[in-house]
Amino acid sequence: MITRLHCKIFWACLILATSHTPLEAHHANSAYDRSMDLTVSGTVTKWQFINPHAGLWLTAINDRGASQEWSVEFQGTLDLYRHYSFNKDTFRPGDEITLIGNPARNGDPDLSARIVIFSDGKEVDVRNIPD
Amino acid sequence: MRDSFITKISIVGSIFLILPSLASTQSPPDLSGVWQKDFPGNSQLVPEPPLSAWGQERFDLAKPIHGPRTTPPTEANAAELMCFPMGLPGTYYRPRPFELVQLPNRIVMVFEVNNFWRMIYMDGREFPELPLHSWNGYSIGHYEDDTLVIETRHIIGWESETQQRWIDRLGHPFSDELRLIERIRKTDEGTLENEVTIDDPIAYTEPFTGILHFRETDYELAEFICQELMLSDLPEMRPGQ
Repeated sequence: MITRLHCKIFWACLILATSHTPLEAHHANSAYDRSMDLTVSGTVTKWQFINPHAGLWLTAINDRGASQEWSVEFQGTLDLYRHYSFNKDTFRPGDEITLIGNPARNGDPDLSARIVIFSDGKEVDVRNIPD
Repeated sequence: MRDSFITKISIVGSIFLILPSLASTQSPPDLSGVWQKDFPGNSQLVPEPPLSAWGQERFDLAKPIHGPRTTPPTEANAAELMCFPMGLPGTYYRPRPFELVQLPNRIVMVFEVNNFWRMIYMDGREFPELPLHSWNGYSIGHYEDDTLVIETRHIIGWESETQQRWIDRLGHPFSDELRLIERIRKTDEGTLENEVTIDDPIAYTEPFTGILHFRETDYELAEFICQELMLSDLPEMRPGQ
């Protein structure tokens, strides 16, 4: 069970997760801290629906009012397509979304996606692969 | 008396002559379908692969991106990180399905990862006298009752610290001398068992065998071009960084 907070501004929530579904990925996600969750809300600027990992970029406003560009790593296209019906049109520039994921260990504004919350409130847990 | 003896000999001889042709007319087991691995990608064939000194030296140089020795991608030397094929049996450890197609004289395995195919010749041929080493080697096979037996040789072995060749995702190396034996059968309608034997006298002190399981899936294979990472703007995905 993962305790989760949602924040109106990015960066605000560093949450310890007590249980995570392991995700097999191209590079085992060693670059990301799997013990922590970070929530980022912002505006989509780019969506790269490619392999071996799709990427999403969004601009978020931090609690000091400054904007910052975040990159978010997803699985490859076929996992996203088969299990969550994602495709190249799932995100468009200008979309307002919230991402919950694991932060980069090096402190850069990079995230490994775990949960996507769309503007209509729909939540998709992109780690919940039935394989 | 003598005629009776000749008759018996004739009957026995005929049986020996007929048996092989009866066997050859037996229907091969139906192994066709789309199969997805049913084991962790960071597992290994046996708990302690019997590494030779040659093998141990190269195992120590491996910087995998899975398992207990996971290395950050910027420092790792796993072939898959650069989208190179993993060879066999390494490719089975990737989390992507493959389709097995049985034709009269050959079997085709189509792996979704890297869109690669593998041909297994079932026409009784021998290995080519002049080996053409390749990432996935040369495979010949035959059926033994309900089991497809495949032997693969001529897989490009471990070359250098930056050109790694592993039997799994954990860094266990293999050499050009690898002889890979696979015994594939269905253990039930939805499960494929592959009993994999690694016979590599350079990298290991003795042959060893492990079992990989696959389950049937209704996926339709789709395109997976790993080299798209060259297009990625994600900081972790840029080659050489």
